[in-house]
Amino acid sequence: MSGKLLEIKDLHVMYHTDLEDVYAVNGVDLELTTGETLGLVGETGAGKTTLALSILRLLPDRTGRITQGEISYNGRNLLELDKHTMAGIRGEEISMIFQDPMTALNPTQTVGQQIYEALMLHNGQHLSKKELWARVDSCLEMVGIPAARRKEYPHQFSGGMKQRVVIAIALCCEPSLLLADEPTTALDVTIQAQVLMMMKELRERLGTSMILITHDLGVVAQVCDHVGVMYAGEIIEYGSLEDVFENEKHHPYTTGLFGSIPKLDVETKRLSPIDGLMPDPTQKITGCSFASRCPHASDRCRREKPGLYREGNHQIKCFLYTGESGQEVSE
Amino acid sequence: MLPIILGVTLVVFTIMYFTPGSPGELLAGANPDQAVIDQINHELGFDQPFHVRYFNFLKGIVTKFDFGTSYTSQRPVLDEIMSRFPRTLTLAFFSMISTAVVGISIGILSAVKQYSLLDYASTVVSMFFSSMPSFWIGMMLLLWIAMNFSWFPINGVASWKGYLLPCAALTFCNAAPLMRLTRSAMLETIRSDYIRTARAKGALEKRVIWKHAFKNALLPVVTNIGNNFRALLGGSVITETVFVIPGLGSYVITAIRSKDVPVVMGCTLFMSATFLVVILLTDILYAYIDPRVKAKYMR
Repeated sequence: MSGKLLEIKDLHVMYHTDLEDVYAVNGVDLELTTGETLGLVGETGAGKTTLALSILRLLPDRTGRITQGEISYNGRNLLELDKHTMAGIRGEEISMIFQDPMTALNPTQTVGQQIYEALMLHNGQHLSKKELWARVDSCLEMVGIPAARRKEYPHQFSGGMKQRVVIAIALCCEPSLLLADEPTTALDVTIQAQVLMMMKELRERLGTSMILITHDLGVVAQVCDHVGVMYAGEIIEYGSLEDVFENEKHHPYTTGLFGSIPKLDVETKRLSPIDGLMPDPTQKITGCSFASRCPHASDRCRREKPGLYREGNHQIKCFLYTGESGQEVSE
Repeated sequence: MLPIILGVTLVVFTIMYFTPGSPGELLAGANPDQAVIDQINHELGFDQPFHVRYFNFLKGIVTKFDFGTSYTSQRPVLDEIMSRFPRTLTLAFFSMISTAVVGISIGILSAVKQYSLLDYASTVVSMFFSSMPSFWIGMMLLLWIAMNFSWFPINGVASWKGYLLPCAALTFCNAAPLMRLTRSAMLETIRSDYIRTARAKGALEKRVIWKHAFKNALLPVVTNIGNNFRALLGGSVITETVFVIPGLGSYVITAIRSKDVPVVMGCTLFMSATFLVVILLTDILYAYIDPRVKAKYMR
C-alpha cells in the first residue's frame, strides 16, 4: 500500500495570453502514496483543475505553461517525457474524469466507441476486437449501464448516465492514478451520492489512487484519506482527514471555508463567509496570499511568505504557527 | 420543395412580365411595323393577360412536361436545356468537389498549425481570393495560362481540358471563404471538452484530429458547401460567359436579353430544382454526420 506514486515538487503553472499573465499554480508540493485518496478543496479559481491538467500535461497548448517544478510519477519525471510516452501514460496509468459530463463526450460517436477507443489505444494484451468489445460491455455494466446501450449516442443519456460513461472511459484501462475533477458538481444530489459510492467501490476493487478535486467538503469527508486545501495556487494546508476536519490548529482560510457551511447541530444566526475575493491571479503576490482577507494578518504576512508548520503529517502555511523564525518548523 | 419551385417560377415570371420590351420588337427586325410586332406577339401568346400566360405555362409543364418553345429559335425549350444543362452541372459539380477538397484540407491544416507560417500564408492568400470576383480570376487565368500554354483551350469545352480553367476559377474564389470557415470551426472544436477527453485517453494528435474533431467541425462546413452550390450555379452564368462555354448560364443570359420568356422560365426551373436537390442531399448528409440531427427526424 505504501510507496510514492506521485510526487509534485514546487510546481508553478502560468497562463500566458496576449492580454495578461495568470499565475495559476504557485509552488505546489504534493505527495501521493499508492491506494491513497487525496481531496483537493478550495474555491473556484484556486488552481485545482490546472494542477490536475498539468499532471496529465493537458494544459491548453499555447497559453498554459509549466514554468518550474517537477512532477514525478513512479520515479519518472512526467514533464520530461516525449509525446508518445506521455500518450501511453494518459488513460493507461493516469486518467482523468472531467468536470462537465455534458460536454466531455464526443457527440458524434456512440458511447461504446468512445470506451472502445480507450481500450484499443492501450491494448497491451493484444486482445481481439471481439474481446475488446466484451471489455466495453463489462465496463459499462461496472458503472451500472446496461451493455445494450453501448450503441447509443451521448445525447440519449441523462447527465448522471453521461458521467458514468466518462467514469467508465477513465477506469476501463484500470489506471493506477485517477484524477477526478469535480466529478459530481454537475450532478444533482441523489445522483451525486450514487456516483460517489460507485467511484469508491471501483477504487477499492481496482486499488486505484485518486486525487479528488471538489469544493464540496461533504464529499471530501465521505471518500478521502488526506485533504489539501488550495488557495490562490498554493496548498496552504495539508493533512489527514482528521487533521483538517477536527484538529485544533487550522489555516485561517480553512477555518473560513468551514465557517461558510451551515451546521445543523450548532445554532448560528448567520453563516460566516470569508470577506473579500481571491487575490488577482495576474499579480505576483509577495507575502501570504491570504493576507488581504485574513483576520489575523500582520504586516509581516504582507511582506514575507510564511513557511510550513508541521505537526506529524499535518502541514499549515501560516505565520500563526511557524513562530518568529518564519522557517519550517516541526514539532 | 414543390411550393418553393412554384414560388420561384411565379417571382421570375412576374419580373419578366414587368420588364419592358416584347419579343415582337426583337424578332421583327429593324424599323418594324407596329402591326407586325403585334402579329408576332399575338402568335407567341405574348399579348394575353398575366394570369392566363402563367397558367398556360404551368399547365404545359404539369400535363405534358412541355416547357414551351423558344421565341427566338422556335425549338422546344426542354431540348435546348437538355443539351446545355449537363455542361453547367458538370462544371458546378466538379467545382464544388474541388472547392470542398481544397477549402477543407487547407482549413484544417491551418487550424491545426495555428499561428504557423502556413496559417498566416493561407490566410493572406484566402483573403486575396475571396475579395476577387470569379470572372476576374477567370480572365486572369485565360490571360496568363491559356494564352501561354497552348495545352489549355481558350474557350469551349470540346474536351475535358476545357473544364479545368473555369473549374479552377470557381474553386479559387469559393474555396477561400470555405477555408476560413473550416479553420474557425476546427479551432472551436479542438478547444472543446471532448477533445480534451480524447487526449486524456491517450490518443495521439493525429487521431484526435481525424477521429474526433473532423466530424464535429464538418457540420457547419457541409451546410456551407450546399449553399455554395447555389453560388456555383449562379456564378457559372458569369464564368460560362468568360470561358464561352455553351451551358445553361450563358443561355439564360441571352434569353433574358431577347425577352425569351419560356427559355428563362425553363432555365430558372431547372436551376432551382437542382439547387433544391442539393440542399436535400446536404440535409441527409447532415443526419449521417450528426446523430442528434438524425434523432430529431427519426422515430
